[in-house]
Amino acid sequence: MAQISKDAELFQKFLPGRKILIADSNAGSRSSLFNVLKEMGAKSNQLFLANTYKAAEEQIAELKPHVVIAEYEFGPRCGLELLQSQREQRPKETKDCIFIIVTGNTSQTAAARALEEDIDAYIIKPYTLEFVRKTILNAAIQKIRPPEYLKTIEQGKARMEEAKLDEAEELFNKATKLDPAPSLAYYYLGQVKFLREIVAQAQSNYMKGLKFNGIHYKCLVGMYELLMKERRHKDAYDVVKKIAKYFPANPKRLGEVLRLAIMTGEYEDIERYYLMFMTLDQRNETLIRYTTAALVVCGKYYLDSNQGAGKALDIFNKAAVTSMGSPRVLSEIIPVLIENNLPEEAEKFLKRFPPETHKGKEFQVMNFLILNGKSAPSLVVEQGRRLLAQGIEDPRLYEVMIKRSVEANLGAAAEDLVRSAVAKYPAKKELFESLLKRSSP
Amino acid sequence: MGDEFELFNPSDFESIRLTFDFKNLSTDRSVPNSSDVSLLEVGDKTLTVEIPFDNCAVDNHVLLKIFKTDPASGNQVPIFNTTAKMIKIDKVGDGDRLLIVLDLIQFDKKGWNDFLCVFSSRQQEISRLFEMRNK
Repeated sequence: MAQISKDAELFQKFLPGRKILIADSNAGSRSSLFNVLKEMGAKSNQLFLANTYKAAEEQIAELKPHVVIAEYEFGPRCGLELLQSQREQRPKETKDCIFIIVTGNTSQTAAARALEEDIDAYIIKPYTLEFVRKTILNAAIQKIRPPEYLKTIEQGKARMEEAKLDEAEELFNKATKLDPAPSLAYYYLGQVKFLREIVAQAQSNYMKGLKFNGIHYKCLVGMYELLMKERRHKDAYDVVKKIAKYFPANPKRLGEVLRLAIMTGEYEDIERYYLMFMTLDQRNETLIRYTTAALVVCGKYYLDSNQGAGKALDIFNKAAVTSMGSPRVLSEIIPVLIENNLPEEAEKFLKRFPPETHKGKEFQVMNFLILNGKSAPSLVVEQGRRLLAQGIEDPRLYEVMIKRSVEANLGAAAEDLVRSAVAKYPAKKELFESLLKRSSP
Repeated sequence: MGDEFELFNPSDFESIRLTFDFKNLSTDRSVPNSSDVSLLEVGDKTLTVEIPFDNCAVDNHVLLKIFKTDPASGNQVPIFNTTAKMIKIDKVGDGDRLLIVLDLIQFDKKGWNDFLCVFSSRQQEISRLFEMRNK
């Protein structure tokens, strides 16, 4: 109790001259937090309210608040973006700011994202006023009077930024003795070793940090980055899976999980991932994009490795459904099916293009590729010319037209096409010219 | 499905979602749209809710039913019912919303404790996660 009143006193001393922004679309919440802060000693003229994300963003730019209390679900935006915006504008000062999320979102996803963003505290609604007071106080005290352990780590970080690695290492070593579970200190020791390129010792320090806390975010990320740099993709995949499990819904990370699943040939994980994805109520655009791309790659792998067209078609079907008939995704699938001699299946996927996209480049090119498989060369060339005249251009279109022109003994036309194709796609010069040579007597 | 294969857990994406039946028994008027009611604070035996502006007065009696959305079925599961008295009313926002403190009158004590526990246990888990970060 005495400590709380001491902390409250310290907080009151911290308040003069500070600006506090309460950003929440809910009027009651703004009012309630305003009253709590007033009770804690803040003056009305230090407290600023924002009821929209835009207003909050503007106030952050204008007022440069020292304390921000924001709702996670802020209209279509996320309150965490406010911190990102503040960090971009004032990276140095943001370290000393207090940023608290007060939200009705109780999901692990939201909490973990807040944690990753280095938010100081996360309060869920409905709350008790006592808990709000205590949490704001604790978050402030950590900044005003951090424990010796965190202070030492901060000093070490400053040395590290100045490239004084010996001094930084000494401070981080000292910090390992200042807390019974010093994962963070071991993480920074690992970072120093990593900078010195002593990889084994960096890894050993991350491992030590993880012994105290098996899901220590920074140690896991440090380990992941180290393994990626060492091109130990299999081990990196295991680590990133663990990160994604405990700190879910970071689209960048989910992308890494899928990329590594592909790089390490763990295609079955992608199918399992898809099953989990299907159970989600809310799927954001990025998540859909990553999942769809991974499914397409997975389907291509099944075809290339002769694991049966059925399995591949099933996966492609899932990708098409997930992307809601995205022309981009269908344009990835159809050429693969044509290459693998599955023209009827390719036509089925062509029919999935939404009618409003039929005049677009993607549909026209895919239609052309399918036509190429079942029509005489002269017809294909004619249709290709029509498309080019309409301004629809694609290297695959040129590729087919050059081949077909040669087959139809239209040597001069084929040469003209190669010239145009090279001018448009110089990086594919060798490919276009080889088509001409391949067909030469 | 083995735990080692779970790249993420769908339940991680779920938040506790509440819906409300709010009826002012003194005026016989209800808030027609549940999404217009927000629960902000819990006290010893009080709840602070925000509702759209209406003719409410201190000492009005209220029937409040709180439901939790079951993530699997989407059904509304009742988790707490109470009658309550309005003990404080403040206009908030542009005056179009009311922040009301309700003093609970008739309710099941176990139900109340269970209701509080839903949020306090989740808050504890999250706070622990945040404490561990600085270790």
